[in-house]
Order: sequence, then C-alpha cells, then structure tokens
Amino acid sequence: MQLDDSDGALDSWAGFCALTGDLVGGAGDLSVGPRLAPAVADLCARGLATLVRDYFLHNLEETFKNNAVKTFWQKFHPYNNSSAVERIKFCVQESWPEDVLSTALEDICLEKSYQEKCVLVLVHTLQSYEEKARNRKLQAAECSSSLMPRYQLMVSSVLLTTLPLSFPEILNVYFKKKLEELNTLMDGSGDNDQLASHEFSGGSNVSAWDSKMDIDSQETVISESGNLVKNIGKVVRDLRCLGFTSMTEDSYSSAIIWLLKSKVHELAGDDYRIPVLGCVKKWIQAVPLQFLHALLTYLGDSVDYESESSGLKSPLASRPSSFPGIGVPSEALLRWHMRLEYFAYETLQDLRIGKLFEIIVDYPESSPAIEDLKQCLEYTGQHSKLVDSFISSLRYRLLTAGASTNDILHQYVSTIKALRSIDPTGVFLEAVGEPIRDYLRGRKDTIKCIVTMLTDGSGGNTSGAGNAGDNLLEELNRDAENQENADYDDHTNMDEKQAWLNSESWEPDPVEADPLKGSRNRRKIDILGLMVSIIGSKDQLVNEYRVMLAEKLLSKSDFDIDSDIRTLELLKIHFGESSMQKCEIMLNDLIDSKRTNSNIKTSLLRTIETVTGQEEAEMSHDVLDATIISSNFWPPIQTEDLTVPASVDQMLSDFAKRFHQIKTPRKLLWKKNLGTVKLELQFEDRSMQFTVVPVHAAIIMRFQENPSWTSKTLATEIGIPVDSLNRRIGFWTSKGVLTESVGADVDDHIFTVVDSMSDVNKNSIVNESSEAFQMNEDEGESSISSVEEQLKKEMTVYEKFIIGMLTNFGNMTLDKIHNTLKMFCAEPSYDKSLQQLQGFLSGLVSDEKLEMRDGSYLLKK
Amino acid sequence: MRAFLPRTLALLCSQRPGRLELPLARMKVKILQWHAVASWTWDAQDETCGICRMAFDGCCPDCKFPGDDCPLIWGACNHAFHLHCILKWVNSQTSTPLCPMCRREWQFKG
Amino acid sequence: MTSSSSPARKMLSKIACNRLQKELAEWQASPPGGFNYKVSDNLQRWIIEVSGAEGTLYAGEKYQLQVDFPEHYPMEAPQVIFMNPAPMHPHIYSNGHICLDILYDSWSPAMTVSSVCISILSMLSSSPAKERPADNDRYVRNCRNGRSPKETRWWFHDDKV
Repeated sequence: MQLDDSDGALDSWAGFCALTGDLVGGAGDLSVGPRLAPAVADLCARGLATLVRDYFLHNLEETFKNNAVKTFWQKFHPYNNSSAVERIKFCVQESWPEDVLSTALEDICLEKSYQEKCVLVLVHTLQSYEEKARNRKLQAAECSSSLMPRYQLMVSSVLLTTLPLSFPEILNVYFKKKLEELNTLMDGSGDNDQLASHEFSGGSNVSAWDSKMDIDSQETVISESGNLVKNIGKVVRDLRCLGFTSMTEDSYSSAIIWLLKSKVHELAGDDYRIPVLGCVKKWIQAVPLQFLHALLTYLGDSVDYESESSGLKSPLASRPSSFPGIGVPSEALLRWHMRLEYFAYETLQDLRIGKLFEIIVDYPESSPAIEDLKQCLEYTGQHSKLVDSFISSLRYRLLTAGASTNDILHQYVSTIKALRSIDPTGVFLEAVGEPIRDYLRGRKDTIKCIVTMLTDGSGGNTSGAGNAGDNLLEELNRDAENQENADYDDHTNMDEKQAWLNSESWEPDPVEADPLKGSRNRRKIDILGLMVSIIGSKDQLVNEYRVMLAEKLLSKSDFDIDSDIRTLELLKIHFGESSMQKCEIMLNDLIDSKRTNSNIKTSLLRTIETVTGQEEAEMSHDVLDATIISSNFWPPIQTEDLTVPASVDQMLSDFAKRFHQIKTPRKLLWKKNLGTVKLELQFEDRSMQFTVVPVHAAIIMRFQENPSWTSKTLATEIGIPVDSLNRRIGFWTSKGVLTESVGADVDDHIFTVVDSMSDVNKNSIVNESSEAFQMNEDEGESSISSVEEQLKKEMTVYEKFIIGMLTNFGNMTLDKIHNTLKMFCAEPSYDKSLQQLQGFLSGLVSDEKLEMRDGSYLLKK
Repeated sequence: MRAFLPRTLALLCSQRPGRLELPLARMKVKILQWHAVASWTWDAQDETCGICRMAFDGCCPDCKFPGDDCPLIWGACNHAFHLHCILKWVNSQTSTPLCPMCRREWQFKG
Repeated sequence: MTSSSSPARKMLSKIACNRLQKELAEWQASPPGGFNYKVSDNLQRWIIEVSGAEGTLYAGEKYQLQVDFPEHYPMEAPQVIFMNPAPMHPHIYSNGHICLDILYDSWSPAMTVSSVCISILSMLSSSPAKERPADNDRYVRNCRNGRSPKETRWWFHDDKV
C-alpha cells in the first residue's frame, strides 16, 4: 500500500467513522468488522492509530452513556426519587431490589458485552496491522493492547460520574436481604446441632462444628444455598464488570458486618448465664464464611488470589488446616475470618461492658458472660474501655445516697471476684475499685457492715440480693488455705535456686498499671485486704470486731461459741495473732466461764443438799449461769447500778463466794445490769415467757410483792434513776403486763399489774406465746460503748502525752506526733490511724488548746 | 345463820385470787434462767505489778492469757507480783533476793 | 537528736520494751519536776535534762543524763551517766560516772527512770560543796577505754551525800 495524499487520509477517516457508527450503533451486527480493516490500516500507516482508538472509544462512550447507562439508572428512579419513608416501603417488598437490580444489571451488561465485542473487532484489526508493521520493521504505535483497558475504564467512569447517591444504599439493602436469607437457610439446618453443642459443650469449643449432621438435610441446604450464592455471585460479577468492584465489596462487607452485629446481639441478649462467644464463632464459620467462600469461588478468585501478599500474613494468625465444608481456605478467606472474629469480639465486648454493672449484680450466676468478656478483651486489648465505662456506671448507679452500704459492699465484693477472673493481676480492679472505696470511706456504717459481713453469716439486713456475708466468710476460709500454701512455698521450697527461678519469671507490669501504685500490691488480690483498705487500718477493723464480739458474747444465754472461734481463727491468720489477742482472751473467758460454772454449780448443789431444812429455795442455783470476763481485755463496758431482788442477790453472792473459794485470791465483781434472763410470768389464767435484760426482770419481780408501784418508789427500790425506770418499764406496759396511770403527783406514774385477761386488750395477748423467748432490748441501747465514744475517750488519754511532747519540742507535724505516740505509748497502746489523730488534734485546736501553723501543731500560748 | 352467809362467801372469795380486787399480788415470776455477767479481779492492794508495770488483772508481758495462766504471788512482806515476774527477778539475783518493793528478804508467802 | 551511735547492745527483751513504753508514757503524763525528756526515736537510750533545784549549789545550771537500758531491764539496772560536762559533785566523776547505790547493787525492778532521776536530783541538792571525788583522777584514768560504771566495784562510803 502506498502513502497517498491527504485526501486519501480524509477518505479513510470518513470510511472509518461511518463504519464505526454502523458497528457501535448497529443492533448486534458485527458484520461490518472486516470492512473496517483497510480504513484502519490506512489511518495507522499515516500514524493516526491513537486518533482511531480515541474516536472509537468516544463513540462507544456516547452510545453507552446515552442508551445503556440512562436506561440503567432509570430503573432505580422510583427509589431514588422517593422520600425516606417511601424507601422503606420499597425495602419491605420481598423481591426488591433483587429483581430490579438483576434485570438492570443484565441489560446493561448485555449492552456492555456487545460493546466489548465491538472493541475486540477493532483490537483484532489493529493487531493484524501491528503485526504486519512489525514484520516490515516499521515504526507503529501499539494501540491494540491498551484499547480494552481504556474501554473498561471508560465504562466505570461513565457509571461513576452518573451514579445516583442512593445506589450504594440499594446495594447494601440487596446484600443484607440476601445474607439474611442465607442465614435463615443455614440456621434452619444447623439449628439443632448448634443449640445442642452450646448447651452441652459450653459452646466454647469450635470443633463442635464437626459433629455429625443429618447429611441429607445438609445436602439440600447446600444446594439451596448454592443457588442463592450463585445468584448473588452473578450480581457481584455484573457489578464488578461494570467497575463497581470496591463499592460492591464495601457493600457486602458492611452487610456481613451488620448481620454479624445483629447476630451477636441476638445471641448475647440480656442473659448472662450462658456463654455466647463459641456460638458466635461457629456462626461466623457457618454463614458469612461459607458465603464468602462460595462467592469467591464463583467469582473465580478464591484460591490465593492475593498470594503476592502472603508475605504480610500475620505470624500470629494460626492457619487452620481446613474449614468445615471449605477445605483449605484461601488467603482472602483467612483474612475475612480474622476480620470477622475481631469484629465479633469487639461487638460482644462492647455489649458486655455496657451491661457490666448488671452482670456483676448477677455474679456468680453471670460468670459465663464474664468469661466471654475476658476472652474478648484478651483479643481486642481494649481494657481501658471497660474501666471507663464501668466507673461511670458505678458513679451513676451505685455510689448514690439511695444505695445501702450493704449493697455497695456486696457489689464491691462481686466486682472484685468478677474482675479477678478477667484480670488476675488486679490492675483494672485497682482502677475500678478506687471510686468505690473512696465512697465507702465516707459512709459511717461501713466498718460495721464489713464486720457484720465477716462475723455474721447473714450479712446484716441484706436487701435480698445474694449473701455477701457468706461470701466474705468463705473468702476468709479460702484465704486461710492460700496462706497455708503460701507458707509452704515460702519456707519449704524457697531455696536460692527457687528464688532465682522466681526472679527469672518476673514479668513487667501490664501497660495499664498505674506506676504510682506498687506492683507488690497486685501479687495477690485478697478481698479482705481490699476491705481493710477501705477502712484504713486493720486496727480499726479489729477494734470494731472486738466491740461487736463483746456485745454478742455478753448477750448470749449459753456458752456456745464454736462459730466465733472459727471466725477468730480465720481472722488471726489474716491479721496476725497479736492483733487478735484481746478477742482471743474474750473467747477464752467464755470457755473458762463454762467450766467454772459447772464446777461451781455442782459444788453449790452438793452444799444445798447437805444443808437440809433450808426454806424451799425460790430459785435453784441451777438457773444461774455467769459469764466471767477478764475486763482488762474487753472493750469498756457500760455498768449501771441495779438492785436485784434479794433472792437473786443471794444466788449471786453464793456463786461469787464459791468462786472466791475455788479461785482464791481471785474474786468476782458482778455487773448486775448485764446478761439475759428467761422468765415466766404466771397468772391465774395464763402464763407468759420472756427473755429480757436483768433490769426488766428486776422491775417485774417487784410486782410480786405489790401489784402497784409508783415510778419513784420503784426506781429507788431498784436503784436506778426515775427517767431510766420510766424508759425500761415501757417494755412491760407494751406487753400488756402492766398498766400506767397518773398518780397524785404528775411526775410520778403508777404502774399496776394487769392480772386478768378481761382487763387487757385481747389482741396484745394473742401473740404472746409466739413472742415468748424473744430478746427485747430497748432500742439503741447497748452494753458496750460505741466505737466513736470509745475513740473520743481513748484519744483523751493521749492528750497529756501530746501536750507533753509539744512542751518539749515546741512544734511537731502530724506525722511526727503520730509516730512518736506509736512508738512510746504503751498503756493504753496507741493504735489510732493518722486520720483519727488528725480529727482529735483539730478538736484540740478548736478548743484553743493547740494551734496549727505551717503544717505543725504547737501549744496555744 | 343466814346473816353470816354473805360474809363467809366474801371470805371464801377473798382467798381465791383473781376474782376480786385485793391488795394481794397474784402474779408470780418464775425465773427459768438468769445468765449474769461478772468480771474477776485479783484481790490485791495494788493494781499493777511493780516489776512489769502491767495490770494484775492483765497478764505479764510473756503470757497470753490472764487469770489462771498468769497468777499472782504474794511475798512474806505482803507485796504481790506476777509469779513470772518475781521468779525472773529472784532467779537473776546472785545473792539473797530482796523484795523489789521493800527490800526485805523475799520469801513466798506460805 | 541522739541517734543510736552507741556501741552494739543487745536488743531490748519484750518485757523491757513493754515496761519502757509504759514508763515513757507515764513520764509524758507526769514528768518528775526538774527533768525534761529529750524526745528521740531510741527507746533504749534516753537523754534527760536535769535542772539544778532552786536554793541549791546547782540552781540555774543544766546537765544532761544519758540512760542506757540493758536487754533484761528492769531485772538489771539501767546505766546512768552525766554527759559532758558533768556537775562538780563529790560523788560524780569528771567522766560522768555517778556513785549511787541504787544504780548498782541496790537496784530493784520496782524502780523506774523517774525514781532514779529523783534520787540523783536529791543527791545533787544535798551536796555541801562543788568538788570532784577525791579519787577522781585515778578512777577516770582507769575508765579510759569507755568502761561502763556498772563494771566498777563501787564502795559506797557516804550515805549522807
């Protein structure tokens, strides 16, 4: 062929343009192809190959845009033009957007495939020219190879530039619906199997998947789901073909994630008693991974299509040898697996953290939820989320005036236990526990509640929820065991070699650790220790325990102290023997008393038998029991004068005499107002039993001699102040045994025995029998001084030491005073906390005895 | 005779408690159990031991329990000490031990 | 403050510790007149300031006593010496050693730091003249190596002073 003039070029161009128009615009007619060759060859020879290519592409683009693309988007117009509310109506339709989407995609892809054929025609024409040119060693631009890619680029850019905003939304809806369909399909098949495995194997075992299934039903499911996936695959392939590759992937990813999230929520719910992590993991394998596998296979890029990136694979990702039903998974699938699991962990974790307060309320029933949470956190490492969220829910829900101290303590104990299993190092517990401890320190009854929890199985007046008391005692027990083990470790195994091994196994604190807080505090999380740290010092706790123990022991009517001894032994292990010495002596007093009582009683009974002819004793010595205390070791006891009836007095002094004989030169000093008396009031027509304090007994016994007493004379007889008598006698009037009337003197009340049923309000009598043997101490009264009173009194003892020190020194800081008192005060030994001392000193400052200057205390001049 | 009857009846009635108001007490209190509380003390002049300065009713620094476990002992001079304290003193003396309080020769009171 | 730079001594026994704490507490509550306890953290060595009593040779003067307690106090007497400068007194050597029977042979466990102090003050107060013991130089020479006065065989010749 010869190179002609420019006219030839124009002719070729005109011919090319006309043929192009025919080809591109023609409805499926590719026959023009061969006719294209000469014109193209001519133009190429003239070096116009790129012009040919660009014109051709432009032509395709115009056609594509004006026909296929317009029609394509028009299919979605009804949805795009509707309001948000109307869009929902679309979504509810079962076949929407599936039908529209697939037909639209089909049409446009058909058009595209026709265009591709056109492109190929040109490609072939160009190729054959290029080949010839190469043979002749002519220079020629290589246009054939770039044509198809340019075409593809054109297609996607046309689509993307005309893309309606809501198209990704439509895709999203499509994938959600399809995945849900698949989910229901798989659920239906795996249901029995899944339920069974999560109930019996705890669900944490992934391999439970392999358990046998009904093969037939499985196969139907597989074929059904296969079709489903095939349909989806077709859509995906079409979308990809149009260049929506990443949009499509985003869409089905977000649909999968959305489904996973709702699955986690559905499985986890508000039931904390079953583990769900295992189910979630299994579900991931059963639904989204199966789907992805099928999809990737269908699309033909399943097997390591990302193999070039395999070098980036995390060494931590353990590659399972095979997935059930999948075989050896592709790299892409593995990535998906990790991604989905991470998301599941995170979702479940967030869900559980949000409900951690409730979960802990239900602890230990909720321990499966805690275990799940622990695993999630190990995976995600987002512990700080837990701390922040939990602290704020504590502040909002627990640490408020409305919560009882007992409830707070109970929740605290549960928190300790629950968090201990999540994080054995105790770092998070430290962060979470601090606000609770701070708050509890501000509560006046905290010490009392803690001690009650320790001593009393019932844990005080718990408002139903759980039994904190039992837990704490249990904790003491466990602690005792640990201690024994620890001792064993320390002494038996701790040779140098062991010490070396220990030091080698040292691990740095977790990053979350507060560096200000020594790590030794976190070696072992001990609940009692944490309780003590609320109170400030173990001495305060011990002191409060001693007061409660004293009160308990003094109101006993027997010598049964087995449970108290057990508690004391446990406390000794925890607080050290010397701290508990006084309490030990108190319990020992009870043991001694029991022995002494039986000695004295047998000897007294013998004497009485021998002294015959004695006026028939109104009271046998048998009825008397005595708790004999070593008062130096008991908390201060409130004594009050009381004159007991002569018969009782005789009995007491007989007992004391015998004690003196047996235990010379020790003697007894009665604390007549203390103790308990069981008595029976006998009337003509009835009798009633009561358990009362001695003063009540002394009062009512006087009414045997005389059925009527004025308060003044009775008070004198009994040896107590009138106001005290008026208060105490209320016990008997409230029981309907006495009536009160105003006498001649307004201040002097007259009390009279109500001796006949008819005189009494029957109602108050009806319950009498059931009320028998009930301890009815006047409210707010106690034989033991409260810790507060004691503290004030005890502190006063130190006043002169403090004044003395300040006289010597001029001025001293709080710490210095505290340490000096601690070192030198032996009797009474100084066992107060710094805060207690500070409180006392500020009292002295306000009394103008001391002043405070520059952080030091000095004597007020 | 008839005139006496009411009075006899009245007399009879008066001896039967619960029927008529009379100054006699008709309620009886039966003590079933009296659980009393007492403290013990050493019957000594002083309150504290002159040697260890601890209360007699307490115990010497070496003892754990007061009372029978840590008894008091009197010397012929009538001075009392914790048994354990005076024994320590007596045993530490090379020559004749003296009472720490009055320096008279120490002899346990028989 | 006198930190314990004293020679190595045996730790106080439990009884000694207990009793000293009590004594100190009692002292703080009612210190004997004319004495001032210098607060320190050393229970085993007390430093006490003595003020000469009014109307005596030592009126207006101040001296310091150093009291060291043995392991088995109060079964053994404490070692009591004047710190330099020691008061001029016929029974007080220039090295601070005090010739007083209750500190040695006549010690009784019923005595206390407080009662010892009172005895020393009364000894000072009854002094007829400010002078050293006759054998001062010889005695002090013998004691040069820091010997404790408790190792001296005391011969108490003068009951009046």
